[in-house]
Amino acid sequence: MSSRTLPLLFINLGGEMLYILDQRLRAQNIPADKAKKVMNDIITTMFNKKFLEELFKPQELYSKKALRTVFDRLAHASIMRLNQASMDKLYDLMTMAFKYQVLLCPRPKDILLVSFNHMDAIKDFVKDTPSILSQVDETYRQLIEMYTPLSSGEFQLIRQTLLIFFQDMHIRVSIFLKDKVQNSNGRFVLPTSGPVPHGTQVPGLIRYHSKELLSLRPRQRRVSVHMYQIEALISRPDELSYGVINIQATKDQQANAELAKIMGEFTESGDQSPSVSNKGDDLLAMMDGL
Amino acid sequence: MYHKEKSIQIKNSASALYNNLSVLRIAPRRLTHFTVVHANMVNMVSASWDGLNYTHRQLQSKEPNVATSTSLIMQAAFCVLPSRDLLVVTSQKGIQMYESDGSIMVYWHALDTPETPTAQAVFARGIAAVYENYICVGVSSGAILVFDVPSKGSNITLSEVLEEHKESITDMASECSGSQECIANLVTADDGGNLCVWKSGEEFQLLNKIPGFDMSCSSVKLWKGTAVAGYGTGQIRLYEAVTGILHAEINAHARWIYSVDIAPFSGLLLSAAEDSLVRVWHMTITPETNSVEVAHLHNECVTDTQICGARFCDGDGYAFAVTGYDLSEIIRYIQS
Repeated sequence: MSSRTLPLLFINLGGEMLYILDQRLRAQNIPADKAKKVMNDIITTMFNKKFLEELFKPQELYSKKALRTVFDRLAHASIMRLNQASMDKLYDLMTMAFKYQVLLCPRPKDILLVSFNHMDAIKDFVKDTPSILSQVDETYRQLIEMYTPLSSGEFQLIRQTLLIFFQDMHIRVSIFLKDKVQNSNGRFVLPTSGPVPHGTQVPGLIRYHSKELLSLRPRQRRVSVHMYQIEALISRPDELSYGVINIQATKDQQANAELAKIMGEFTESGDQSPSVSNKGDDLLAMMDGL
Repeated sequence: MYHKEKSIQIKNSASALYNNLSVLRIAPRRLTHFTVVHANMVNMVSASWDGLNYTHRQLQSKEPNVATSTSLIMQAAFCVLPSRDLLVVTSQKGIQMYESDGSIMVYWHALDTPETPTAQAVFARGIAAVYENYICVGVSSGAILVFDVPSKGSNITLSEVLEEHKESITDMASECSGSQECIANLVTADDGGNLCVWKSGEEFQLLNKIPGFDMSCSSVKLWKGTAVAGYGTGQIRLYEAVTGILHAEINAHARWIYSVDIAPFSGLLLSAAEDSLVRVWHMTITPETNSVEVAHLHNECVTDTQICGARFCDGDGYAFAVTGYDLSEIIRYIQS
């Protein structure tokens, strides 16, 4: 399917992994300097120039096994060691979290915003290390360059490719279960209420365009099409109420200019993008709970 | 208006692909075939009308040259022609055509896939049987391949390549089984929401181009000269095909539409989207007076499911079937 899916898959899964590792390191009271070194080492490996060059080339997605190997290696790119069971749990968490985000994106293009959220968090982890920060910034630029010109149809193809990759994965995650975003059968809850995405109208209206009314209004003859609206007799469920959720603003000054321009294209009131911040304590509980 | 019937279990879950359900009703044998795509496989179920017999079959995508790499299937659809029925399966590698029970592959057409992958994906998608003996298939480049199908046997040939669309084909539909005089009998849709209207023949004739608004049209049907198109914005639009006049816009769904279907004898319209809803509408189209009316009749919500396929099981719309991403069943509804 889409040959541009792999960078997004890798960066988002990587971002999830880093959130979880960051929390784990803090939960185990690893000294700050050691923890920082672990995070820096992993991020340096993740954003290795040659690796990313390969990644950004048009290609099919890696198989599940191959991708798991990539993340096994990445997780061991520092002095930190995970046993098999921990690595399995980490990978399950990462994949279910990103599956959730992909599934719930109101529009396919929102996957790019989710990716930017992850990139922002990664930048925050390495903000004190200029050499790694510049690598991350370069990748940010590449993402923007590669994905912002794509149409919504092309993004939907990317999304469909990702969904095939995540097909049939129903691992239960305790924090998702607790927050009732996942059912006990492992399937995610899809809300049927809330704001419609930018570009979509709230269902309910049927609009007819008719030429016939011209004959009733002689002065309107210059108008080639007369438009009138009919409210369709759709019984609208009470839950289809309006609400506005704004996309979380980035805290990083550097990306602001670029992101403001891009977000200006995507954002209108009513946009909603799954939030991935404030997961710290929740992720901690998640790891403990598994 | 409709109530849920017993679901049919399938061997794999449905993939998130447009129009991911095809139905073929075989009255003489009192059974109905259903096909659902899962990654690189087509799940086929033949259900007897008495509800007692279910036969399963799985068709894999074909790889004539490369042994190992996977080839994902984009769509599987039954094509009903006056002389025969075929099952057409389109993938990243090419187009396969089977006898309608999936027993024998009668034709294979390979797409030009480059040595190293390009940024533009390569695949075939969009399938329609067109009067009198053509099967049309869309390609990711925007080209439409027209195949000439003899009434028997495997001597299927590529008769024409129509190059009008500039973006990937998403879906196509035809009407006119030859019983009525039709001006247009094929409509094709692409990722930019553009629709092309054609008349079939030894050389297909382009009758009209209806521009999109950069919003993908994922599913399209043609009925009484009206193109009914479902879009990624959740809107359905009804255009007079030959003139391109917009008759009606329906703000139908809160998310991307994945499937629209029409029951030609009753004028019922079925729409399904990622918002978990299947909606049934009724269209009254009078070509002579140029009038179009749409009434909303019924909703079904498939909880926690992004719907990827919805089809009427018969020409009157007495029953319809639904598939959803990650769901290993075909959900059925019949009129109460």
